[in-house]
Amino acid sequence: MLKKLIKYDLKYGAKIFIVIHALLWIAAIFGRVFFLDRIDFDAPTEQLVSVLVLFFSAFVLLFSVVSLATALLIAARFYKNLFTDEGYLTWTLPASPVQQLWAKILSGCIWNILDLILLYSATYFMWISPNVQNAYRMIAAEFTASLGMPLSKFFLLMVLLSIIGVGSNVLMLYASISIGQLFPAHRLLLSVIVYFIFYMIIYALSMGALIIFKLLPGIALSANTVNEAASMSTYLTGTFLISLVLSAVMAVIQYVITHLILTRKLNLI
Amino acid sequence: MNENVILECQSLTKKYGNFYALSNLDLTLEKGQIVGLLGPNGSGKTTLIKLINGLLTPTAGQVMIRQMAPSPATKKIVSYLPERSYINPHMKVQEMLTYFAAFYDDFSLETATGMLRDLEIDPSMRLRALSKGTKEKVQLILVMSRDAQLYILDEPIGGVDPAARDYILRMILKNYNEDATLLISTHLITDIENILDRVLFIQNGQLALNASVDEIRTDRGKSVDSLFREVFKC
Repeated sequence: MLKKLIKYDLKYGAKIFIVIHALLWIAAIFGRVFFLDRIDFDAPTEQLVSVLVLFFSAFVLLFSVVSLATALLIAARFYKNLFTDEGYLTWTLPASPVQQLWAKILSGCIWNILDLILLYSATYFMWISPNVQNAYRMIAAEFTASLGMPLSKFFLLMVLLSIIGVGSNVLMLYASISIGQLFPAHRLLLSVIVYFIFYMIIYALSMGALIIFKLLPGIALSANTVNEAASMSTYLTGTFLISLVLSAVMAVIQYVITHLILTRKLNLI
Repeated sequence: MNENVILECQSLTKKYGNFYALSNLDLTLEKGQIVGLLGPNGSGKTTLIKLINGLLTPTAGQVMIRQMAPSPATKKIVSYLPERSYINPHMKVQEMLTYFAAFYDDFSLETATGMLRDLEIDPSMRLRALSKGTKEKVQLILVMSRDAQLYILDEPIGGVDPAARDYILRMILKNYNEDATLLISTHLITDIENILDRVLFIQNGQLALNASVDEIRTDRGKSVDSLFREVFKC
């Protein structure tokens, strides 16, 4: 049953997902072929910086839009399939609420992981442009020193962190939507508000933990006399560990909330 | 434990804020009947149907289908047609048939295909391209192509033309197994009166009448429609 549910969940929205990520990859190919492969890194610094800032801003925006679209796709599937008219069919299938929830969690995680793979591989594809590699070799040592770790290690850390956060991201969306359903008059508005409340809680807890463990770069620097690179490295590793723990704790809480609402408070209007 | 009982509601109550959509409703239905669930708008018909299907959580009381609370086991034996369109408009009719066949073991692809052919509905059409009435027919075909023990049809003929209504009623009678129970909620009493064995009148969330159609006709000398008009006179 779970397999069938996941299959139909993934089928829904597959076209949108493919189109969005195809556009992202087309942009990445164009970006590499027409910009990164051709840019003159020996050009005057001022000119180079302004062009690079423009290029990276455009790609950060594009990546954010793609990530947001994927999150919206996951949220829309959950909301429409469980809480709108479609729910009349979903909830009369011979599947338990727990199976329905796990199907949504697993399909959401699959979408999210695919999204991350495509985003990071697009980044890597642009990064391995020979022109960029040649330019980076000139500043690699300096960059590694300021990060406190090689860029490749930093990249892997980011990939790992994002993938570990997938379950928590998906559950945060589902818990927010489920709580929103408890207020039939303003279901979507409440869902959005709850999502931001969760976000603020996680942010506050992360900052609190960073301060308590003296992991914020500024605090570490003023409190100790360690060098900046070591501090950045400690900060990144610390952030990684804190995020890991917070993600796990929040995911469990959000799972329990969603589970309770779907099993005990389901009311299709 | 009566083996003939398909549906049992005990003190079933559903409250929205201070409003009782259903209040202490007790009901027992036996298998092998066609039952009309009748009542004015807002009387609690759809609330009762949703509670039977596990789409609402009761405030108090309980619903049992063959001695089981709404669960995957009851959903295997209940075929439900809601009063709204519940199919994804982006899907094709054929995809919906495959979907039903994938999830319901008692779904007959052959029966569904035959009915689509009779009603001249093209299975390759997307649901969003169909008229409201045709969508309703597709949903009804999906629901009636199951070999269920309890069929619950909420306003099955409300949106279709009178000619199609006759076909649909014939289709319902043809496809339902005589051991099964059919619970039909509708406003169009005259259209379905002839096929009903029993009627339930529901008013202000409570059962106002539970009687066989023969009793109404013989004992009260009235048709279901005229009794309905009398009981629910505005």
